[in-house]
Amino acid sequence: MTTTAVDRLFAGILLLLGLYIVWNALEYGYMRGTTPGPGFFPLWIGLGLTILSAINIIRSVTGAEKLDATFDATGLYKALSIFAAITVFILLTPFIGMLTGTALLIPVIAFVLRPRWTLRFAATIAAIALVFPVACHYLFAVYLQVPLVEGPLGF
Amino acid sequence: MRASKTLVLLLALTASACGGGNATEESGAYPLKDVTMIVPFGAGGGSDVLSRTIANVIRELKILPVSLLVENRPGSSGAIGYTYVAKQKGNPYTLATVSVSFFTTPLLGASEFNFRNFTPVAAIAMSPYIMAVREASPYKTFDDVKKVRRLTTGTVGVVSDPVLLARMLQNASGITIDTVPFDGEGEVMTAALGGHIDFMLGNPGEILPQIEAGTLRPLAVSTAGRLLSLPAVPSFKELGYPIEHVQLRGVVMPPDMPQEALTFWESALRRVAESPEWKREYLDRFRDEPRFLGSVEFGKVLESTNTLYTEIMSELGLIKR
Amino acid sequence: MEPLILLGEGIVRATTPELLLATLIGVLVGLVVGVLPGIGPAAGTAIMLPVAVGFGGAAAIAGLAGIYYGAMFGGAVTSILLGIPGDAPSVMTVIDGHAMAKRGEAGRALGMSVYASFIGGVIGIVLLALLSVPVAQAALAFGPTEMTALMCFALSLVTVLGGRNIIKGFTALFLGMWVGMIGLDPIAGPTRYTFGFVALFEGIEFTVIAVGLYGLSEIFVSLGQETTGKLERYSFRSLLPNLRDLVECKAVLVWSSLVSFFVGVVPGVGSTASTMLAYATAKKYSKNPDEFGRGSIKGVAAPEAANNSASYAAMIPLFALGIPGSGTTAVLLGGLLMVGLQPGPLLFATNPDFVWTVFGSFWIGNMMLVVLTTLLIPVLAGIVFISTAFLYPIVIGLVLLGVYSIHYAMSDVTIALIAGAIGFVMLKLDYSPVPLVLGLVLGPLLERGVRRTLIVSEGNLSIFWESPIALGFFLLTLGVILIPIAMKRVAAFRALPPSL
Repeated sequence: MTTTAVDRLFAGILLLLGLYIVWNALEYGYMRGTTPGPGFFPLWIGLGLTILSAINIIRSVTGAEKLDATFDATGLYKALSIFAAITVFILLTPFIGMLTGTALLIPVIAFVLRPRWTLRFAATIAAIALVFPVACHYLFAVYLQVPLVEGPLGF
Repeated sequence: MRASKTLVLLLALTASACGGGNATEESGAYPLKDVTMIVPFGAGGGSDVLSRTIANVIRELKILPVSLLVENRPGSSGAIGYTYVAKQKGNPYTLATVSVSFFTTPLLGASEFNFRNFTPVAAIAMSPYIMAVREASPYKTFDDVKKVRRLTTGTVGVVSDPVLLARMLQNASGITIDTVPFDGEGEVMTAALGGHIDFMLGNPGEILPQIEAGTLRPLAVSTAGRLLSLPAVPSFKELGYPIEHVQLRGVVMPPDMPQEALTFWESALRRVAESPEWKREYLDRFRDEPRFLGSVEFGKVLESTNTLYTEIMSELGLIKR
Repeated sequence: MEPLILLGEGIVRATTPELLLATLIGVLVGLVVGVLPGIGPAAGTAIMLPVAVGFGGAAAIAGLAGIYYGAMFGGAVTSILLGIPGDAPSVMTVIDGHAMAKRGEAGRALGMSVYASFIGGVIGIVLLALLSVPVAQAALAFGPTEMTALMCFALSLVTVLGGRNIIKGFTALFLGMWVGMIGLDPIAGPTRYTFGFVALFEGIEFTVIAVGLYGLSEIFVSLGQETTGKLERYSFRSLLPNLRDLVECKAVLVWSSLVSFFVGVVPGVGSTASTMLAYATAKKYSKNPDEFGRGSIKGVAAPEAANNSASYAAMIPLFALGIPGSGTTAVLLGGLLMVGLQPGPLLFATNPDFVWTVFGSFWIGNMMLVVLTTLLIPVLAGIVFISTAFLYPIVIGLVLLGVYSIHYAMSDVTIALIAGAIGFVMLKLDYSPVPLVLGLVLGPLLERGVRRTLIVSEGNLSIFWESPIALGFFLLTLGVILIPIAMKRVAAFRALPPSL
């Protein structure tokens, strides 16, 4: 998929979002008696978003908007992998706790960034994965007294 | 976990029953471990300060053989903290204080646990509302207010005690009162002092310092009689309006509370409320009025307060049925 | 000059070992919560309140306030080095600070952030001492009407921050304003655009969006670029702060400090919005506005001076009137009450020693922060030498824990991740994230201002031009929009060939 196609797709999504905002705004109520209601501002914001997105689509189709950036395959793969890894982290946190979660997340992200590991690199990452949760336990849970999400083992 | 807690409690109850059932609260078996007071809001707010002061006074009076720990569980307008407490069914080691969100958050549908899911313990202080105008206001006494067609006042959030009182006053006096919702108590005070709203309704803690500085002028109070701190200011009732509404500083526990634990805390809080430490550290500092209500009476107040909020929120269209 | 003498006496009183220790602890905690992405001064002061109250008296308040202005110093570090705003008021520092770091000038940018924070702090403290009472009285004139006008003026300046494509800039602005409307409507009460999620009832915290939109997206985008080889251009020399920059930026430093001080005094505006306004005016009235956004040293100087100065301004309503104007000062108010003081208009009169001692501790804390951060710069700037394969896993871990720590909510982590993904797409498609965060901060303030005003006036619009302050800001707004258009017309007319 080219950047231009993504640009049009994104503008299209924003256009639909704009319409959704307007549609809901009407439900919330444009005016309450003599004063603007909960739907007043969202209505105008939704209209603005719809119109601006329409202009963005037109500019893209007519070639007025040219983009330099590209979605290179490697970069996109890495970004998506990290996104997926964090998503898994969020889903697993209630079961394994945040600190265990980060200990597992660190090597995964390191693997995405550098798939070929030397022994030395692996040792460093392992050390980080072990030291980081401990340091964060002291920094967040002890020093700042934040109740981190804990796993069944109590950390 | 829950089973073991119940077991401990049963043992505790049996132990105290065997001890003749006459054990005093200090030497009784009940508090076997530390008690936690949950604050469903962040540190530094009204609920937090109230809970921490209660904990301090209880420590100073040596009421508990164990510690009373204060724990903040903020988020979702109190829903997270109150839900946590409501789920500790029968656990006599959890307490929480009552706030406006205690009623409004479940009414808005943001929490499945309402006041009926808690055991009322006691109210230990009362905070009245003072109607005040800024020093430069043309309204010198409440009589000056009676002549106008319309007034504006401020509130923190859409549903609050000032909104309730403003509605009551509007219905009783026939004056149109529009309430402007602000984001914090500081903004309401700014609007009142700057003359952007006609009057404000606030607790003594915020209003009295301004009155003493001569920047605000009191017109009426929301108690049945006059306040000790403002003997010259009439109450709404004296002025001929059937308006009486105050905020009770109260404590609740999880549902299905064993009678033993409830009695223990009811009398413990009575000792707090009647102590000079409480007067010095809370009442004098936050300018609240002394008041004690036991479990049954406090429960009735919770019921009637909830009815008031339900009515006003239906009027505002916030409760969808 | 009597207030300055009182301030001097306060500084002397604030040098007792107890107060020095409390101030040091405060600024250290402030630096940490500032540096950590997500968690900021509001959460920091709330967390430390019970501990600080244990110090008692002036030491308690000195410690708590230290967290507030200490966070302003710390926030710049993550913003510059990683492109992740350490806390909400440092979000504007990311724009130029991180661009400089990517160019290999991390040390220079960090150095400027320290000078700027210090100068903004000094200006803020001196103005706090000299003008507290009159400025506090003037702030009372800012009701909903005046707030609306101020926000219109602020939004008119946004046009200069829209990025390359102005239409996409406005699209991002509208998107940000919409995100700001998610949650319980603060004026009428119903929930808006929560998609049924209870976690969205209280709205979306600005910092969560800012960290995701800038921080995570920056990481995502940089994955596509080949970073090896780029690192070799760094030299240790580039990591040293540069005194010449200070001379170059002196006008920007003073101007930004003043703008954000006087805007930041108004209860409800907050240091983030005043920093945005200071940055926008600095760019707008710069001789060379195009350099802003591309790694300009002035783009670091402006927001850093501004957020420090605003942090002291925010304390004026608290100390002079007993009014907390922001979440952080509300915690300070709780602290005052818990150490047994009665905040209110009489605090200056009844407890002058206390107030001036606390102000004196600000001065000392500011000095401590300069020393601490100057010593830390070479260490911190060295981060650029760490390979991303080591750095990013740690940074992502800190972001996740830091965002969680704001409200102790995993839902915030999810929102930050989504914001990061959207930010990644936006950066690729040349939508600037700056207007989005501006809309998120200013949009709700504008909406609330308008609706509150019209409740007061029963829908009568004339209230907007009956207030002289509001009228003034509206005229300024018109000027900001119309003058450049008129100038363009004149220039175009002059450029016409004479035969026409």
